[in-house]
Amino acid sequence: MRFAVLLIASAAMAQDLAPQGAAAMREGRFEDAEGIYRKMLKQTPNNPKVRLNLGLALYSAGKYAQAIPELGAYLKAEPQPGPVYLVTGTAHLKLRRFCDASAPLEKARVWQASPQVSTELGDAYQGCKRYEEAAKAYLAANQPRAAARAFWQARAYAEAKPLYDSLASSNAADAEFLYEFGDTLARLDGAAAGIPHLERSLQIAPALIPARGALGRALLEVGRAAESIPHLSAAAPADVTLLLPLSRAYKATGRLEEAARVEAEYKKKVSAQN
Amino acid sequence: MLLCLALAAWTVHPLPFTLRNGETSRKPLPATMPGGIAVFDYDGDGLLDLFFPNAGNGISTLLRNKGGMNFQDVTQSSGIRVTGSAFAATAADFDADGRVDLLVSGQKQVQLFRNEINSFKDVTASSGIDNKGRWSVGAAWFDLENDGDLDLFLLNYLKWDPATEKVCLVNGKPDFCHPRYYQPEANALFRNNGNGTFTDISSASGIGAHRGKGMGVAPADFDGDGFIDLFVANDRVFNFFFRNRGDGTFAEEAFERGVAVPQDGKPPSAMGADAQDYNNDGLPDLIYTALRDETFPLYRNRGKDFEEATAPSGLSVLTRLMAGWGIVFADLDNDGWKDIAAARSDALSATGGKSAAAKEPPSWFRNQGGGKFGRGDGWNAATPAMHRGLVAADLDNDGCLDAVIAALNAPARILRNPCASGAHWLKVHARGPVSRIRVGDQWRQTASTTLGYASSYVGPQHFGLGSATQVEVEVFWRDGRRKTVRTESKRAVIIDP
Repeated sequence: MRFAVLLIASAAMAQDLAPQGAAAMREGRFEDAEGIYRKMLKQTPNNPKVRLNLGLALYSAGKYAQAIPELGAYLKAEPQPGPVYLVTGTAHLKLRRFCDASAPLEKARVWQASPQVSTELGDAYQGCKRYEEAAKAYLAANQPRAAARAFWQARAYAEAKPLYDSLASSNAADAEFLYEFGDTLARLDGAAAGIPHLERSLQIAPALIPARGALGRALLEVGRAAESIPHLSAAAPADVTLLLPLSRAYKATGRLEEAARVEAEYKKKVSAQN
Repeated sequence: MLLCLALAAWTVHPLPFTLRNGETSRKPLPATMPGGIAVFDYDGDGLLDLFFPNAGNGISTLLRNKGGMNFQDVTQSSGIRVTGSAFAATAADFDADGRVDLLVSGQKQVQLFRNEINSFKDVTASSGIDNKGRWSVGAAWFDLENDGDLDLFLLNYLKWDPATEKVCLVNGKPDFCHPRYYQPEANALFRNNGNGTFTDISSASGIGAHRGKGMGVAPADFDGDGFIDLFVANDRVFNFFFRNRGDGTFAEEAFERGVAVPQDGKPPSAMGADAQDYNNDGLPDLIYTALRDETFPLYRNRGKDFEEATAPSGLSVLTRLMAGWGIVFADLDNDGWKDIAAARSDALSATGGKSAAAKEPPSWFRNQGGGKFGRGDGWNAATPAMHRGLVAADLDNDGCLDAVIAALNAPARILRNPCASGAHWLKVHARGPVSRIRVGDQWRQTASTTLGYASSYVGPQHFGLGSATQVEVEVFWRDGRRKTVRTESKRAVIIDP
């Protein structure tokens, strides 16, 4: 991200330091720029424009956590929507503070609803588990794959399905895509509809554990208990709720002792979770 | 004719009652929980009246049915004065005097109103019923020991304290917190002493030993041993199946019976529940509502246990994207198969993280026979709302079941059945303590008046007969007596023991 446009000269700045700071930023000497702006800030404490420039220097130097309060000080003085919100939101994203990133990015979108802003807003929502909003942001950024996943994560399967449908031919070798699509179909149209996609997903990536869980559930639901057991067994350590279908699968195949053992384990572990 | 049937639309009749919930910007959990409906003929005029518990600053209201879908607010003259926020209404003739009484479940107490000929008297204190400050969202009157008296099960939700209520965010906005943030609560059981008083037997019966987050209770003699069992739908924790041992005690056997949790192993947000025989095999089956992606789980009773039938019945696909509260088995098209009606809504606030998407329209699912359900038609006029309680009842005595539905911060509504099919029907009013009724090859269990979410129904039992003009009716009383009569269709029959 380039910030030349944001480097605002302040009347209060010392005449010799401001051009030095701007030159340091232009030349990529961000640590030098930081030092210059800190000096200026001593001369004009709390000057919001100097704090902005310091924030941009810190951001450019990768010091995102330090940049955020400086950018925030500027935005407190100049709160109208503008590009500084995008920088602030991006800084939060870099720090993986997704929930904190959404508010400044929402303001950035008011300033400019560009694909970049929408994508970053989608990332913020997704990281904050606001999946439905993430999906809408990704759609605005024309990113149907990310939107499909976010709708799926939001359990908005009816919205996810047409996106997966439209992307199926270009993602036929993408194991995660096939898992999500298969899981969506199993939920919306019944287990049998999802099984081919889930099986294909695991042919490509046998270690994709969530897909094994989904396939195990689906196989059991259509009466293929014996085939479901290895999948459910493999996925149960990561998802204890699978222990119950696994117990049912054992029961259905006459393995009653294992069924009882796994059901007892299920009760204990799920009770502890809730 | 077929075209007319397909296009017959139900009409919407708003009622002079609005359900309040006391919602604030902090979204306290109790604000999502109102409220149920009691349908019963309180004045004995042959028309079914309506009682709505209310919360927040709303007044719990009794509406008298004046006929022609006209209802009059008679709360003032009724003697019913509900204190505090109320959630559920459970009507039944607890003192066997021939008049239907009313129990109202609330956040801090329950209140029992005895029907004293067109007016009610609060007899809570003298009855000895005390829920000890627990939060009740439902109740069930049922005969625990087949002694002829109706005993009382109080369904308690969870431990909630306004002093420790936290603010939870959904999509960045305050909304109702997930139930995992609250401790579970025990239910309560009171034995009817037969003299207007009750004894708390929660501990002695074993009921009080199990703590859950009860949202629905469905009583029925599920195992056919002559004693009424209790299914309790719990919110995000394992459901309970209390098997009645017949000696005043219960054994919790939800896992043994296969109803503790759906087959996928994920404890759902189980809400309202109902027990009736949907496949006409003589055994009461089970259904309950849950939230989006949890389906409305359906269980087929096999006698000794249950088999989940959500997927094979088609309900898994039909209800996957729905969230529901009230639910009932009811033959809405009079074809001889009990359909399913559901009051839908998310549990989150319409002004919270899901905003207007939290509202959903009500739905019904047509029983196609053979264990299959399809989408029911004709409810398009019912707009989305935060629906809660739902009861199916013939409110205009035209031989077809209507649906009365409560919704948060909106007028309650009746969906009036167009009754366009011309199919035959029968209403059976069997007097005395009846356990179940058979009409042709259909069964209705009458173990309790409780149904769905926080709701109840006391009135004639309705049977759709399809094209049959004559049927055999068999009534089973709790003391073992039974009586068989033949009758013609399209009438109400009264059967005494």
